[in-house]
Amino acid sequence: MIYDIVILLYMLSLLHMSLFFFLEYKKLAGIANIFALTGFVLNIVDIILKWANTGIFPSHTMNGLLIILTAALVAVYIFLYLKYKRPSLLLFIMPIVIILGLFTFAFKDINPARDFATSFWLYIHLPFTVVGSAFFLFAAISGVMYFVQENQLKNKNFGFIYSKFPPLNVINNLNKNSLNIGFAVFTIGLIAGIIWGLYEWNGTLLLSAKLIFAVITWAVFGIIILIRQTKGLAPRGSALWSVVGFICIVIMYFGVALFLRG
Amino acid sequence: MQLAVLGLNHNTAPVELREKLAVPEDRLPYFYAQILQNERIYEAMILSTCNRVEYYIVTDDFLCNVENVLQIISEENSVDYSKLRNHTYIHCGSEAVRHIFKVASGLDSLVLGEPQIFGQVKDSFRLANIHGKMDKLLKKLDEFTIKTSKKVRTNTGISENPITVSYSAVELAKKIFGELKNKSALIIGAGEMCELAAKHLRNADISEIFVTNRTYSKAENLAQEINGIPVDFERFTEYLKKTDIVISSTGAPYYVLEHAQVKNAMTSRKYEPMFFIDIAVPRDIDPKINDIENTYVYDIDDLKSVVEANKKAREKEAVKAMEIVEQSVNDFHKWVESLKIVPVIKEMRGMFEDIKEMELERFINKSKIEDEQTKKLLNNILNSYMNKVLHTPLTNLKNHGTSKNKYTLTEAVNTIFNLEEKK
Repeated sequence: MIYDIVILLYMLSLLHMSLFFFLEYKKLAGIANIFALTGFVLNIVDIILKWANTGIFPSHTMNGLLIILTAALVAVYIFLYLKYKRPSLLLFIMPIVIILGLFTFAFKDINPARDFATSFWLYIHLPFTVVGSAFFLFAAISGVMYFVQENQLKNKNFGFIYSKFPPLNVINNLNKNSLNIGFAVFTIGLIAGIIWGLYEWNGTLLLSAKLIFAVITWAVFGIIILIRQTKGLAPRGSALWSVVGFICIVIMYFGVALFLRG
Repeated sequence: MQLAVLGLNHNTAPVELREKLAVPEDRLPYFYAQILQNERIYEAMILSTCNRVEYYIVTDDFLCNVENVLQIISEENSVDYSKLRNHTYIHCGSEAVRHIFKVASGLDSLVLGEPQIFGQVKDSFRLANIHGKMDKLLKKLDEFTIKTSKKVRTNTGISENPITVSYSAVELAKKIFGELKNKSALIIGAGEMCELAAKHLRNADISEIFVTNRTYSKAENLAQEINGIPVDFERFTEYLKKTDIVISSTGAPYYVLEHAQVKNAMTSRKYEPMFFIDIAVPRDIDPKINDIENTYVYDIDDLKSVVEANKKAREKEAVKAMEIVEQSVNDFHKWVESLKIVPVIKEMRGMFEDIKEMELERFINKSKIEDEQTKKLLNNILNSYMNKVLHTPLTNLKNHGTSKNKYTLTEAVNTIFNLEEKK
């Protein structure tokens, strides 16, 4: 029930931000952010209540995982908004949040109720990989934004969104910071995941498809950051690879969870 | 009491006439004294800028007193009255209110949305308060004008899109680099356009400006003016690797900057973005440079098309701004109308107070009540009764008295309670 309201608030937030984009009344962006923030608070309340009711962190079901993921995405949006003051990010992130949120209704009945859901390492592993992935999504979003904005500036063809998007350097900065923070957080999550696999499952989970994809994702982003740091990768390359890296994440989450059941 | 404005601006009068009628700050006290000699002009404010001269007056006889002010302007400035009349516009009531809101928001300016006029209007109100006369109406108008203009600038993009070539170049640079604080620029040429662009860059807090010119002394002069560093023309390409923005406007009949030179510079700067602004005709910068990754080359035609697009964007924003202005005109109108309701409410309450006092006195005398406490108690009962009876009609009068049917309402109250007669 609470999550229904959360999704409704996120929808209202997206609606107001879209209106702001077209009508350019600055108050609308503020209202959209208030809806997003209220939605986020309720999203967290919902997670806590679910946790309190069952005594298990709600990450043992696909449904619970999606609820955590939506909260993580909105949390990262709020964090990046406070840093960059760019409401246009919400237009990219909110549709994804809403779609993920709507998926929870489809997964409502699926409850594998795995007995490892209470492990300490899992509590570290899950939130960190989810938040890390949320940052990677923002890196991918900023990558797309970079392509669009760069294309407009290069070809001197200023479309409707030209004035709404941040300057190229800001987008590039957003991409760089999202990658760096995301990588650090994701690394912690991955290490916790490996330890969890070693201790709780005597290494049998180490070869699971999900973990292998997590390592691949980690490696892809690690390489992007490494090349970026050594200044060999122009912003365009970084933008492109952020998108590629994120596709790896999508495969890891949905491909593996839905089809391989790793 | 009515607000009226009479004046002329860049649309109605040529510059020869405008400059003759301009009122410099030191002459303001004299002009105010002349206008306020007329006892039926109760408040006055003069707005004098390079594009307009306007007199705002509050009077009870609009037609007669506007003519009087025109006479004064004509005599004091030795301008033929009929000539002055032909170039003057006159607005009164809501039209005058709408006019000042439009002026302060930059909607009536030569350059649509220009921000300087707001400060000029604010100053004019301040000076009118010192040298002229501002009472209830003009003070409220001042408050509403500032509020409306701020609302227009915050809620619309009327001043956001630059409409001069040099300024739009700097705005484009901001769209690439964000803040220009830690960026540096190279100016090739020392002409007027370069100077203008350099000044805009300086205002945008750019950290370093290098200036180069075939004649070194000219580069030195411009560098001194804009607090830049002069660079020898033969060596300017060495500075490319540490320059983010290049502005060029020389008279050279060939490309001053070639593709290969920029390619080399880009390799040394590890493809950090570079922005080239070519204001010269014939062009100074090879357009193929735009093909190099992370370089952006804009020539004069590109910048002109940006300016044209920005003008259109401002016109679009002006429609939105007019909606805000109309809302404010309505609000101001409501405030003016509420002033007319207040006396009716006061009259009505006064009449009830009188009746109460009269009846209380009559009853006390008749009943021979001596005890002060009983008298006080009776007074309190009657007061409480009167307040309860009057509460609903007075609240409704306050709320609906400013709406369209206010005349019927106030007239009805006047007729029912014989207020006019009692006055």
